[in-house]
Amino acid sequence: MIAGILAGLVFFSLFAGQLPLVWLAAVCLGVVLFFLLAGGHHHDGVLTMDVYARRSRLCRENAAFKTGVSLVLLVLCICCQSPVPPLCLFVFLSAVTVAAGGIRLRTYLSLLTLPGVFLLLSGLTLLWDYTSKLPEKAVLYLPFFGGWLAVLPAAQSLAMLVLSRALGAVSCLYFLSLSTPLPELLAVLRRVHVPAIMVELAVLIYRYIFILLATFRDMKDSAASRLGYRGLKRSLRTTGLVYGGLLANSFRRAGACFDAMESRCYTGQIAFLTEKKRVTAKVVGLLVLPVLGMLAGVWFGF
Amino acid sequence: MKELLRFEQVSYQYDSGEEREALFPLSVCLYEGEKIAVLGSNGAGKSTFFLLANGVLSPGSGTVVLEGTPIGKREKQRMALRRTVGLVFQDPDVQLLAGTVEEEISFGPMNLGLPEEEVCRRVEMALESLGLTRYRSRGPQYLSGGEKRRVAIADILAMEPKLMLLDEPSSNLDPAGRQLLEETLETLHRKGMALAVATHDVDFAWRWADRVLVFHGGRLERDDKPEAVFADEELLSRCGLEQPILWKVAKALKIPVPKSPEELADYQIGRKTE
Repeated sequence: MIAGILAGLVFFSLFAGQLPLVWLAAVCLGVVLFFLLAGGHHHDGVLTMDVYARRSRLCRENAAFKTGVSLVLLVLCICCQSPVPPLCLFVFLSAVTVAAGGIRLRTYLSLLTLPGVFLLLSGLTLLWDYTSKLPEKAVLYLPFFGGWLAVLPAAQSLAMLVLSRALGAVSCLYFLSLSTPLPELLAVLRRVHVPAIMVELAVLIYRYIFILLATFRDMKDSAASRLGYRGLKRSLRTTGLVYGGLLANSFRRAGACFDAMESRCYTGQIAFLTEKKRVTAKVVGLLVLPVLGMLAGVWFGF
Repeated sequence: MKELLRFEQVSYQYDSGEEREALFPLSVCLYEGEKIAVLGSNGAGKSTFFLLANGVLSPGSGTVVLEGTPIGKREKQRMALRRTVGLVFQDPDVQLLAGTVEEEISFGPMNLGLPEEEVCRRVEMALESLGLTRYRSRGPQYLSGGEKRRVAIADILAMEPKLMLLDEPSSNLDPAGRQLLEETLETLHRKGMALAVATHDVDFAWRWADRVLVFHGGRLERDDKPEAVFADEELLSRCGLEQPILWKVAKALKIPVPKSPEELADYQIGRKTE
């Protein structure tokens, strides 16, 4: 709801003075409706992304290729001097993720609301400026504590560029993370010689975050079943106890896990066999177009 | 039968400063292809025994002898022990660490420093033996308890040990999971692997094992055939165990103890037609 109002406000400031009033109202209403419909149901955030990535049809494609192309697109997107190419990229990659990957549109949109809110907040600060004297070219203005809050056309075009680049970048990262499970990404990192210690830490964190969450949920539920969250004071106390217990549990578990690794001949190097996935014509075909388009966009400065 | 692993007066004490010794001097010998049930109440020393046998813990005193070679403190020797004796932990979540089942199973063989084709072959073999082929690219966090247990066993199977130790593999399993586990154990036995299973389930021990070790308070109280162990009621009650249900039934009906419910039925029919 708040995100919806925020979005309406940002889009209103963005297009004020550039579009006829009817169109402006329509755009704002559309955006508000989008946020109201797309938001509303909750996720565990990162963890659900992992589930979707495993379900995606693009999951079967070569991870290194996807990662490489996503990075290239990301860089090109940031180099763009006009909002058009990044927006096209956003539309195209979203279509690829949804249509070729088989992620449901509704899911994709609702995942977008997460970075969307951050983008909108930063958009708002880019658009509205505080000055003591009212600038002549201001499209929108409000008196504010003796000065003026105003939106200038220059700020509008800057915000437009920044927002579209950010949106394009988000679509690159979403394409990657909604088609590639984290373990495969880590395998790619290992292959490009990111220091082993970092990759191994990431492997362990990825695995144990699920266990930690499960333990936390169990402890919280069992505390709740004993009425541990009745009243503010007791809730605070219980929360502290649960976190403390979680720490103690983690230590104990770390010891047991290390024993288990040692028992399988662990000698200080974590290595796995990774499934070889070939680069298929399909994924090359899908991704060549945006790369060429973006190159052209940057080159000619559309 | 060829000797695999021998404990010579092995003892171990946890350094928590408690007076109670975790494992009193223990001498026991395990042979190739055996099916051993390790019984005992909680804290009887079963897990410590397994950790020592696998080389995760090293004995406070005494020697562990692997295929005639005493194992010392040297890392290389302990590696040899871990390679020959595999240990499936009680809680699969402690054991599983990779992002997918396939990677998970490859962890052990990769640690053995095997060439890639060999690792591949072993992973395939383990996946196949435990019926996990369908789950190969799933994350362990998205598996059920029984499936996790099978992955944990596949982990060890891929290392192709001669002796596999399983620490309470049937805990937290539903009846169907238990059934599947027993079939898995049978498969492993047919591969010629020696198996030692720590369990509280005396019915399972009676059905499956051909040798029973009874632990109590850190001591090995009895090492014998199942028939002899379960006949000793004084021993069972002292160690916090009970007789298998078939023994109780046989005692009530005053008949010889059958190995399975089917055998019991045969006996009953035989008596009626007499």
